[in-house]
Amino acid sequence: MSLAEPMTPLSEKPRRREDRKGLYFNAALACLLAILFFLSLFLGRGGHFLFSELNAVAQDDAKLAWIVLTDIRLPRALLALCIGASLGLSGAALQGLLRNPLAEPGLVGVSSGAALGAVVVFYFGLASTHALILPLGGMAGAAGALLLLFALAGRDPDVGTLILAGVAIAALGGALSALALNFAPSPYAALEIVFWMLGSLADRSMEHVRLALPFMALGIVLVAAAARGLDALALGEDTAQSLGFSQRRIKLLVIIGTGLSVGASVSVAGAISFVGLVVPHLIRPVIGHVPSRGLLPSALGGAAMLMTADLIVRLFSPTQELKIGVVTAIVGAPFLIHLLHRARKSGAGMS
Amino acid sequence: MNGKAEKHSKLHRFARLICFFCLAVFFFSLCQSAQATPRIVSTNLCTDQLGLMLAPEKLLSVTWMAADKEESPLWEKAAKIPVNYGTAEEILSLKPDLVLAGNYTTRFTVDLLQHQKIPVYEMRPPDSLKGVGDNILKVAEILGVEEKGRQTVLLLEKAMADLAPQDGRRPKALVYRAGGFTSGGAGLVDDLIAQVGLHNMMADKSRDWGRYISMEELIYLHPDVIILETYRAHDPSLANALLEHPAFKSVLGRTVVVSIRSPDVTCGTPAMIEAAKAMAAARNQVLQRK
Repeated sequence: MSLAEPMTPLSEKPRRREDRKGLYFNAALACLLAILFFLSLFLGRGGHFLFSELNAVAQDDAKLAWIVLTDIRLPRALLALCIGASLGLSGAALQGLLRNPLAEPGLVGVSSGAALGAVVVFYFGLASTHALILPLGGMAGAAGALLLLFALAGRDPDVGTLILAGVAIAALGGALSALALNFAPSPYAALEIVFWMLGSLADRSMEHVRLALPFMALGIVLVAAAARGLDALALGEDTAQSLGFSQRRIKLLVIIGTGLSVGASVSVAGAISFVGLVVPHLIRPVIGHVPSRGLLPSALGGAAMLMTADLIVRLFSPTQELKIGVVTAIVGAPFLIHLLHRARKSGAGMS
Repeated sequence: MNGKAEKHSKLHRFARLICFFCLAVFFFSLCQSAQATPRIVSTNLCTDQLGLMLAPEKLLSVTWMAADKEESPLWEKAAKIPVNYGTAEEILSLKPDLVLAGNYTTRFTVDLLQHQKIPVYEMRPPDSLKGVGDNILKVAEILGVEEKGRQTVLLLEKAMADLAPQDGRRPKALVYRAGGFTSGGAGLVDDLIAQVGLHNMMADKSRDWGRYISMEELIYLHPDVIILETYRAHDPSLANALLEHPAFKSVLGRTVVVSIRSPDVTCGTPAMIEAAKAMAAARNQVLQRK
């Protein structure tokens, strides 16, 4: 499995077996998600479950437990689910579209762009007029970063060029965000850069869910609509054209979909990296290299990965809660190194 | 020849004597003027506050924060005084006789000033009511207004004594700041809480300046009184946005909330008394409910 291997559907394999394997895998992931969701809602620090408080004798205690469940745990679990799904899905889609196994929203600079957009509208009072302006800012930043990526990387970028472009955009986004934060009126802003660069789901509310969820859902739908197109593109641009797929339309679907979902995610939770990189690679041994088959499992897997990371930071942080991006980076960065190492070993190399 | 030389040397000696006398008078008068108006520069917000409170006319310069409404309770008094940004360059160019600084002021700046033989008085931010009194007396001494300093301390002590509780009941209180930070068992706010007859819940958990608590933890603690310490509440930040969290608002609905401004309780000025009065009123409200 080298990085140069084309991701083409192998029509020799019996489809029904593949379909059934995919179905079982997705079902297993869905079950895992249900368990993680349950734990996110009810499990507290020190292995303590919320049931005892919810059924408490004292009315006040029960009410407080209910507030914790609905206003604190539920939004957090929902955001972990949806953001993880967005990141996993857009990672898989970008890898399919760019035919590059290292593509993911964080690495190609989309998350940084979204963070910049969110920071500018939030700290300078623009989002105070209407709450919706916050996710809109994030989405504008994400879309801008993607357009810049395609402009820099050209029509058919090779692996190296794409990653370089991504690194440049991520660096630019990060630097401009830091600049904006330093100019912000509030003195807390400069400290909050850690939130925007690493991401966190701590103390999120249903308000954040309401702001981000519609856009994430729309983005996911748009990306999913590009599924068959991604399959066709994997055969080559001209082949796809002859099959009746417009490359421009597929690109637009993926760009807008990723921009919406990642932009909205980052605007409420900061830039969380590596989910979109790791998950598609983990599911590929089971699912195979067909892009359309990989989209749903990547979404489910991304949600599972982020929920697990969130459980870890919620239950096992020492005093001050770790930022969730730390956990995903600790997993993701070595994984990236492993991918690069494998590529070098197999001789494919980065041109 | 000899006579002329002798006359010359006598003249020279006399001239030298006159010169020496003039110079002596000149230097003596210089010293007098230096003693008359010592040039005092304040480079720390807390020393600014105390200086403005006791003798603003004696301060050559205060920090830029002293004139900022959001940072300084005594900002009006700082309006006419030139500001500095605490850099060694600025301070040296003012040619001060004494510099008031904080013990957290940049070491480099302090060392540079001391190297230039300028005395620096480093004040610790007060961590108790007694500390407030000590700081006031010390700064008053430096500024040469000892009597005013003593009077101010007496007024503060009387005001606090008036707020002391009549009985032994101690409703549970908790300080909550932007970003989810609380105040532990140390610090001026903790002392104020104890003085007005409340019990700081976080003092049981930590003897230090305070730490972050998550919203969930806050809900489980459910104090009787939440002391909301605000700082620059109008400028948007994630830290301030946390105070808009629906869960927090529902908790606020069940407790007595007293809002105080961070600058009022940082440096130990009369503004601190207003904050303490608000806390005492909250205590009464809780006890009336029960």
